[in-house]
Amino acid sequence: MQKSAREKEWAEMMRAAVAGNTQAYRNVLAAMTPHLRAMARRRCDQFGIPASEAEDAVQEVLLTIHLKRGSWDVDRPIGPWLSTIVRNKLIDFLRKRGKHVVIPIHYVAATLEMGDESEISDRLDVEKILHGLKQPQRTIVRSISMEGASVRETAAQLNMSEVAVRVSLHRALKGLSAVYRSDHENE
Amino acid sequence: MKTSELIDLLVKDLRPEATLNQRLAHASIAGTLIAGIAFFSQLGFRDDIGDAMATGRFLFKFVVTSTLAASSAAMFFRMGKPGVSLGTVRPMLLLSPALLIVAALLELSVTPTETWITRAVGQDAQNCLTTIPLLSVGPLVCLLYGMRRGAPGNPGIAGMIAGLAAAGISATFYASNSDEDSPLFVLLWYPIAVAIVALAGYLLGRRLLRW
Repeated sequence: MQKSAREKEWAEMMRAAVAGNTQAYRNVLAAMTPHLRAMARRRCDQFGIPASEAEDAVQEVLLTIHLKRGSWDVDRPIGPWLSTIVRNKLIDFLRKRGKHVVIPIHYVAATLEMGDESEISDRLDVEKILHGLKQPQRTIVRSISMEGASVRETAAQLNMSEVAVRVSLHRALKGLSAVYRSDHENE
Repeated sequence: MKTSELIDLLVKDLRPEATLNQRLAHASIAGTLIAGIAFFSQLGFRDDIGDAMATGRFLFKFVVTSTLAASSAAMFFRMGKPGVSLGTVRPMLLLSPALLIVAALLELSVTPTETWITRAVGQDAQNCLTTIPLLSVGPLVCLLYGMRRGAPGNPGIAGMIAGLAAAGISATFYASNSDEDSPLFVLLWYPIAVAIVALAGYLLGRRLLRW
């Protein structure tokens, strides 16, 4: 698929997503992931970081896309927005590992065109990440992500309201992002 | 956590939310209201505002301050959006200082040399240097808060631009209270007050706007 066609498709899905369409959101995140993965692996390769760690970068980018989705102007093309986020997050990711790099933006834009559909061993140090969270966020993340429970089921299980679970989940996601950043500060 | 699980989590956290433009627009309105309430409850217009409105010097202060507020707010709005070019708005920031410098040169050309120092130093410098930063607190906090879902590439600079916008708003209020209308006074003191707010914005932005 051509880059522009793909970007148009992503933009369309993302537009539906920011308006609240969860299926479109799932689709667009799933569609972006292989591209993010290809790019992250390329960087890891280039800087001698084990390819297995690339998935951390992918997840960090996905999290940022989620938390910052409001910063995309739905009337603008999605490519430059996505490339800038990816670039900044990759620079962070590499710096955290002691690599000082400059990544020109057109590089990112160009590599976003390439796909890599290969399956990989998903990894992210679950326990480390979960430890960075407080209760009840930890239980909620565990329940929704690993046990695949819905917000409603989790609410019933924890005897909380659905709204409270949603708020907690959202805080947890912001917390995850903070865990990534504090890693960065400590090293 | 597998990436597919993370995506699951993100999808379940999806809710429609206000766009960054809407958030920042609300933040600007709220900040201006806060500054306005503080201003009218503590200071208010100068007593001879009716007469002052008839003078070019008085009115020109608002041209300078509102240009500062508008150009920096426009820049701030854009800075929160990754991939949006600042090329066209960045030069707009120079508009307010340029207008002020031209006005000051005009003032020098139409007033006697021996009055220059008195006009520039004025009687209200202390108020200028305290009122503008104090009135800026509300707008600055609102703008930084409005940016929390934004993603500025350079958080410090974004905070500084928020500081300029906040200072532009508060300087507009202050200008309607101050008796000092000479562009020489404005050129000497306003930039110092504005710089204090911009520095505060820079330091806050570096901490609060990281992502």
